[in-house]
Amino acid sequence: MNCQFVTLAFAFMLGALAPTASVYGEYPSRPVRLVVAFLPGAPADLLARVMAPALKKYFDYPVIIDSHPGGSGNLAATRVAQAPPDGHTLLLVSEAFATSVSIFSKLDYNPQRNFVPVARIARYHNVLAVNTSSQITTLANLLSMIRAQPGHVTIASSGTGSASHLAAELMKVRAGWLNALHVPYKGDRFALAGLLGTHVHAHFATIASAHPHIRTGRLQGLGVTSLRRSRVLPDVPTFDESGFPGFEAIPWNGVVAPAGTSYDTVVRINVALAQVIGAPMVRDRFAAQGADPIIDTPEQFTEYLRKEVERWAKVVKASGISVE
Amino acid sequence: VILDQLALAFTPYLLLVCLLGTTLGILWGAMPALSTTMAMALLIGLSTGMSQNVAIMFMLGVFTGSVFGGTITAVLINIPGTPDAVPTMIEGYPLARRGEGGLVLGTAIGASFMGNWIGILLMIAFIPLVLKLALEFRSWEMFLLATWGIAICGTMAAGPRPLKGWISGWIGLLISFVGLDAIHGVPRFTFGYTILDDGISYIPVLIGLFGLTEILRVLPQKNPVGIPAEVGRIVPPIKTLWKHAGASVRSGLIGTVIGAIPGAGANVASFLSYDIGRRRASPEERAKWGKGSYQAIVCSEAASNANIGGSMLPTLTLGIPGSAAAAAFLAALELKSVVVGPTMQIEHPGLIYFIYFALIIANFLMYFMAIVLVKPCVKLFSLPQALLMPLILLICILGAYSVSLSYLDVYIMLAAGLIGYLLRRFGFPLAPMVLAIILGPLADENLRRALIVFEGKPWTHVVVDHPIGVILLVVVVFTFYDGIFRRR
Repeated sequence: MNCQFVTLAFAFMLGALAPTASVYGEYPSRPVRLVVAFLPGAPADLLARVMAPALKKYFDYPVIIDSHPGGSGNLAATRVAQAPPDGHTLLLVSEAFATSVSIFSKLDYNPQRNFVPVARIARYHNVLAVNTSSQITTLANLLSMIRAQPGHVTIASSGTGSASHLAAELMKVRAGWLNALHVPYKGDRFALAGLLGTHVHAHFATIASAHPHIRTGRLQGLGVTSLRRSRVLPDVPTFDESGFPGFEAIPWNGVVAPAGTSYDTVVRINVALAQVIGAPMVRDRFAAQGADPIIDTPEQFTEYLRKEVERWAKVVKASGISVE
Repeated sequence: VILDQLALAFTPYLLLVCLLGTTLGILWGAMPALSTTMAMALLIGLSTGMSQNVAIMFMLGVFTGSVFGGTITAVLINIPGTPDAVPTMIEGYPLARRGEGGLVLGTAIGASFMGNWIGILLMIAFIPLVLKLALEFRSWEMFLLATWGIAICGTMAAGPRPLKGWISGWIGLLISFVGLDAIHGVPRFTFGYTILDDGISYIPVLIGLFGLTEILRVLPQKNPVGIPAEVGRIVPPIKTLWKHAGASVRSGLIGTVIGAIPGAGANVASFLSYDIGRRRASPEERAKWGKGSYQAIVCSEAASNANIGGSMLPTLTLGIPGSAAAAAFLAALELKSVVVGPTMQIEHPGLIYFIYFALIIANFLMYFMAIVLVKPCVKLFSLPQALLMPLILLICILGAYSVSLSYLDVYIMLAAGLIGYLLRRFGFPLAPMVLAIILGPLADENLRRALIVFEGKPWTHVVVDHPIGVILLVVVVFTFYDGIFRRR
């Protein structure tokens, strides 16, 4: 009798769960919009374009790329934060998603409160590069030059608050509050042009764009900003090895959904992303952009995002970068 | 290697792809607001399904085609398809209303063809030299280059009052400063609206200023006169082209060098070349300037098309795009795992020649397709005004909306149209305003960056270390002086 009751109760519970399961089982029920806050042709935009057709296979619905560049990605984030949390609107984010909250004094969203992390999908490597004509050959050279002429050495960046800017600030703070001039450009390639034309002394460039120039001898790599050496530039030491233990400042990309999206849906998207990123063709295309594919669980990404937000908040506060 | 690539480029299939690309490019460019950059950006996605050579052929076809395409609507309905077609529009539209639309477009095609050749040849012959010159353009020089463009505002004003040109230009500068500043990300003139953070895009302003203003101008007329339906002669007489050969070579040179400078695109090239052309023109030719001069069209078109070759220079040799459209081309090649830049010759020997040949083929096909497409375009836009104007209004609204799929751009377009109508009513020229909106951010950003770099350095450094800057500074001062004090 007792046993029958338990079975019955269990069956009832299963029955109650069934419609819920089928609701999530039906995700997606229409095309999925992947909002991209980067200019068409930017590495992250290209990653989205590589993934979208492959995701269609797992979703049975097309994944539409919705470009909303500008405003440091804040316009797109604000829009997605207000979208219905049903997994049909996703946002492709970069490291700026974790840093904007500290840099911008007025922001219409909070990266941790208004979003659920789905998966981190890629990370890049940056390299501190100088022009070979500058006679600077090591990181120590550059640092002593900055110390000898405070306020004279110029370090370019891809823009105020960008990963390259923050890497430079982190270096300055860690090396003992160095005084070097920050020269923001509108993007990595323009900053690189500035470095090649000797307009600036140094730039934290992405390895993808800098390594051809390092290989052909126009630029010299002084330090890699990831914890491990880059496969493309095995001879360039990391900052970690060069007297900055634990120094890490790398750009990354991930996918987030509006807060309130159910855990099942998040997992479903995460699994689909993992399968797509695992495909050799997609991995090759990622590599062409200088991106290392990553397969994270939603929990891992949540933890990573929390650490990034905290870490950069400290650097931003210490260096006094802020935008009204 | 070169011959192999030549044979490869002339494969019938690739020729067909290129023909399709140029045709689509011309039609795309002819639609107001559908810019070359947008076409190239969309193609990045499309090209993932193509093989490397097909993608290169197709993209360069679209690139070449759409740069010219902007001229068609500029001349026929007074809406520049692309911003660099504004000078051509100023000269071409009055001529089209006199029934010379076909010949204007024919001349423009001829000049574009010449300009392309100059760009391609200079790119192949002088890669190291032009590249060295282009990299010498630092923030300070870029600022001066942009300021030179803005200085033209005064002299571009038709009639005896350069002041009106300045006022129009100054309004444009004010508009260009709306949004987050490029150096510190501080919002300016946004009044707390995040939607204005990205500033006011020049494309809806362009459409409003010229397209909508034209509708408003025609509206009160009882019997508005449109473009005559007779196309007339299209292929310009060799004598005409020969007469302007000097102007097209000079403009081609200007276009190529400006194209090679990262950040300065076809817009800067065509406006500067237009102004230099006016200064160099004979007195009788100069009298026609502003009212319909064929030489002016040659100057603007040759420069904006030579820009293609020029902008490919830093793209192919350094991996640094000379223009936004070139950036898209670069991205598409990267998706094919081709790292564009100094290592390309080592990793993909011969590919650079294939790109040269693709550009040459695209240029020829552009020439023929443009001539074929001119006739139906003239016919289409010579519809009775009562039919044409509503159609143009629709094009204006769709064009403004399609820039970033936002209603804000439609409102900006409508506001720009009203402002443009009022300004025109009181004799203010509109082209300086467009020029200032495009060049304002370039001047602003580069001046501020230059000031950061110059901090703590003596002024002698600015003179000694920046010889090109000194030359440009003299030119800018002269242009301002000339624009303010010259009596006409």
